[in-house]
Amino acid sequence: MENEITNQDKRKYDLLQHNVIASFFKNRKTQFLFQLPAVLLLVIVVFAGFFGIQNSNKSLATISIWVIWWSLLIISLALVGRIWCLMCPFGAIGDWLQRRTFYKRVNDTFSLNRKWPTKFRNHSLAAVFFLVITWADFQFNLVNSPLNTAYFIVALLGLIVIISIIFERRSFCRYVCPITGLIGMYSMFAPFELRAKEKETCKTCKEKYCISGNEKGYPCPVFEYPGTMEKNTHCVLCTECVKTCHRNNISFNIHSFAGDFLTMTKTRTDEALFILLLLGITIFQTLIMIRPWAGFTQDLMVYTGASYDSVRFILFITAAVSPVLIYSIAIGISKLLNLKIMLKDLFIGYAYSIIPLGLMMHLSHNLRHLLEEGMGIIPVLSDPFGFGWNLFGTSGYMPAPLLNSNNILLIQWLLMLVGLGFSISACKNISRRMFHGIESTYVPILVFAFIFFVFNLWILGQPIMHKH
Amino acid sequence: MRVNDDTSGNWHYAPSLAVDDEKNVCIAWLDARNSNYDIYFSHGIKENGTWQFTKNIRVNDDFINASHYTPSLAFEGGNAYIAWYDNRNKDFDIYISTGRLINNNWEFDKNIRVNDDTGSSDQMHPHIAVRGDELFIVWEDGRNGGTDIYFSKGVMKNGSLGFGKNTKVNDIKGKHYDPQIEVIEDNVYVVWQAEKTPYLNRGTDGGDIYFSRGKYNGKDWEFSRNIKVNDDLTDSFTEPNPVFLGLMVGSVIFSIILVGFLRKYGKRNN
Repeated sequence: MENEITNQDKRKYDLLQHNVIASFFKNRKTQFLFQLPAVLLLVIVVFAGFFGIQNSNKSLATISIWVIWWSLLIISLALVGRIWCLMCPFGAIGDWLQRRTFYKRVNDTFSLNRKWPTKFRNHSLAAVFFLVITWADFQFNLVNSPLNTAYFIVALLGLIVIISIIFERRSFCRYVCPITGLIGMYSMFAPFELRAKEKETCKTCKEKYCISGNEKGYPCPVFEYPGTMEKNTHCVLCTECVKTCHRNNISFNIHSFAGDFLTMTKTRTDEALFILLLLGITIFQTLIMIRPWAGFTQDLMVYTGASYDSVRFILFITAAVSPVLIYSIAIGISKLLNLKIMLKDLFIGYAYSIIPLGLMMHLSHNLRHLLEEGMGIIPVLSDPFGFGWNLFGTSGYMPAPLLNSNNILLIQWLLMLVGLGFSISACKNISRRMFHGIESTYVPILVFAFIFFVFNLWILGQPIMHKH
Repeated sequence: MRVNDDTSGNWHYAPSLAVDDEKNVCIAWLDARNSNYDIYFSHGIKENGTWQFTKNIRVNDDFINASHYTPSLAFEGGNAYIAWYDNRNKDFDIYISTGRLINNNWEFDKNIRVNDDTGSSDQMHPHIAVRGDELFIVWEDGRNGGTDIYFSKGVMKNGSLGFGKNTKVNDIKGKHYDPQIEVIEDNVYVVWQAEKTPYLNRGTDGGDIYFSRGKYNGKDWEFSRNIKVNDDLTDSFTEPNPVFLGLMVGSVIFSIILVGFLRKYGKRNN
């Protein structure tokens, strides 16, 4: 059995070599078993948003989505990758409508199966959508409004249904989903991956059922080809490739954290820009919660005579763009020190090394929400709509936060330290593989990472004013 | 000026403040220094322009790891009265304790239960007012299944507080929260937040502030008809905009029909 394991990389361990796990992955009902509860929960959440109490601290809609789900999503991305996409109720509804079945393999799909426009086959739409939603959160108080949360979910459902019946497979998930960029980038840090065991086997495979599908499974919904896939960015862990591969050449590996950064060779401009944009937005989301922010915005309003909304919008754009600008300066210095290397290569290549730092900042931000506000779900579960129910006897219960403020801060700082460590390691590795390990190419990037690290430590240490 | 004297990092919530007879301050709060929430108290005196706070004192006298919430503090005649709710009896009850300065140390009496129900319903969020040696207290009460506002009056007799029969304040249905009470001469005034029980009692108001005046008729306490204070029509429960939902559902259905037609038409052409 051991000799049959074709994965040459000793640092990886293929979980599919265990028959129980392999048959679980190959079972067509597996994904449905994950999707069904998620869809049912989404229906309850929408009901709570529309018809339940309009108090964000008492509504299942706001607490379950913005405090619990969003925090657990970020944690799951770091630990397991795009596991959420496996069960995502939005993706499920799109799939079910297209296939007109919950889990069976059918040939005729209910869709026009149009190709996604070539010029939008990148992160641009997802980035715009992500920015718009982040902005809508401020403008329409999405996070604190059960009703607007429900509107948002219904609008997103409508959009995915329409896109699913016009475009082929999961075009929405790959190119439009507002969090696909975030999920894709952060999942590169995760220690799990679905990959081809032997690239050579894929090359010589004439059928390529992972691309075309067969009676056992659908073609990859997100247009990935395991034969060349080298990072988690787009893989939604639907396991269709495990089902379709007649050569059993797909592995589900566990490896060290940030393993993708050690092996990837393909980099993209849109992904590089998205990483920096994401870093800026994450910092902005944390900045607006701290006490100095209120004074700073007020000073700006007085100084400029602009309204609060205008000042906030300008700061939002500034925060989103500033990592790109500062990073560009670092890359510019790197270029000046290494004139023979292309500026674009430096810019794109090293951007991936920022992911661990950005992820840990995001994780730190959401960990505070989860630990401080997450227990609020306990009374809400007893009365999810605010109708005065007490289903589990916990209505009116006021649980203490799971950890005190200092301990939370300590964990946040430790996470940031971990993020910095992985970023430095990724940076050196990228340098070794792409730029012959020339130190002067990555030292400015390390300085950039360290500046953001220190700035984030400062932000996290500030007293919190505003919570979800 | 930090009032709590424990090591930093513990959670402290919901402070309540009263000014004593000598214009110093008394503060009570809920405090997580012992892992569960306890009620703590401190007395602040201004000396030479600087506030000095006494050693923090735990007010609740149970030691069963119960949780104690949202203290309400009042001060009169050398006595500090603190009411709160806790779950030492499994369900939440209203408790009160009286403290006074004895030999430069604050000492609190045995905790006294205020609510007189016998069931296992919850009583929460008390608020107190004081007049001489009489204490007036209101709270949220779940003895009738929902959440009502109840009132009781306590009198200090032989150095111990005794409370009278509990009286319901609200006369409208729905859920009633966070009462506040004030006493002036023979009248007590109560305000609170009321929410309708959605889809069951459509006639009542939702998410509003209500007011009532209470008076002793020689036998019982009587409360006036509840009056809505806020004059807006915003509801704590709402319903989705039918235009939005209609547009969304309509667009989806239209798209499905259109795609169905195009598929059929496309197949026929092929």
